[in-house]
Amino acid sequence: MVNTNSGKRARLPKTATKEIQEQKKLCDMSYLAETLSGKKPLIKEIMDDFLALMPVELTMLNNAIAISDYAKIKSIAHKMRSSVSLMGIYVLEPVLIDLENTGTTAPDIEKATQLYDELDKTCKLAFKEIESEKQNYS
Amino acid sequence: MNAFTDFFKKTILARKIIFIVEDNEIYAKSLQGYLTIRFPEIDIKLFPDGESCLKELGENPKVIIMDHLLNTKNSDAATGLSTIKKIRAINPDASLILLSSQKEFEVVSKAISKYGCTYVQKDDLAFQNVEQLINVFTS
Repeated sequence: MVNTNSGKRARLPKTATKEIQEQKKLCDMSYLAETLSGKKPLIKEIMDDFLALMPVELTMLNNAIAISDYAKIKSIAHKMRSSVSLMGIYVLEPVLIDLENTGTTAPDIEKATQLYDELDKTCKLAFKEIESEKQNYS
Repeated sequence: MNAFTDFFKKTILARKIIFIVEDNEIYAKSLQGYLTIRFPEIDIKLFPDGESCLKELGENPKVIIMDHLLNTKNSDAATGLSTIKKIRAINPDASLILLSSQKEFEVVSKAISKYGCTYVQKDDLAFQNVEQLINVFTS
């Protein structure tokens, strides 16, 4: 691949680092920290944005599921993938992919509801973790 | 007055601007943060949709980074590709980067062939690839 001026090339890992797995953490902030060159104010700002915006998107997703709006479900789940990847919440990647795919081949609102419940539950745990982690970036 | 005009032209007018058009605020801000660190001399502005970007084209951005799917928040929002079409009509010289996880061949090939865009897949190397392109477009 191409060289960049930055020297380091942070890649979005597909799974959490061993350290994160051992600590049984949901969020791996290492990619974000490396991408933003460890600049604490910037990292904290992204964390704050995530904590503010994700609940709104979850509500939008829940509303879309309530009215079986598969196009909207797909659109929101697709967008969420970028956000959760940046925050290193890798366990949610397959859940969001499945949510994107509900309604693509055979509409399955019951499955969408189950996936949403899993997404919502995991996000709430992730929010607590990020709130705690924010202190390291103050 | 000539000295002032010269100074104005060399500094204010010469200041480069990049637009990022992306309705995912978290992704947009992360990309903005990444690029600001690496290009501190460039102003980087965020827009949540194509419509708001089009209103500010008078700022003559050097590079416009455009997501394709911009309708998460506003379902009536134009797609990135349709916005690119309008940008080309107004500003044929702007360097355009279509940054998207869009894998539909038709969208990608149209962006490249018809509108002279550079396509960057929104994957784990997207930020670095955009950085490399900006180095080329602003040199």
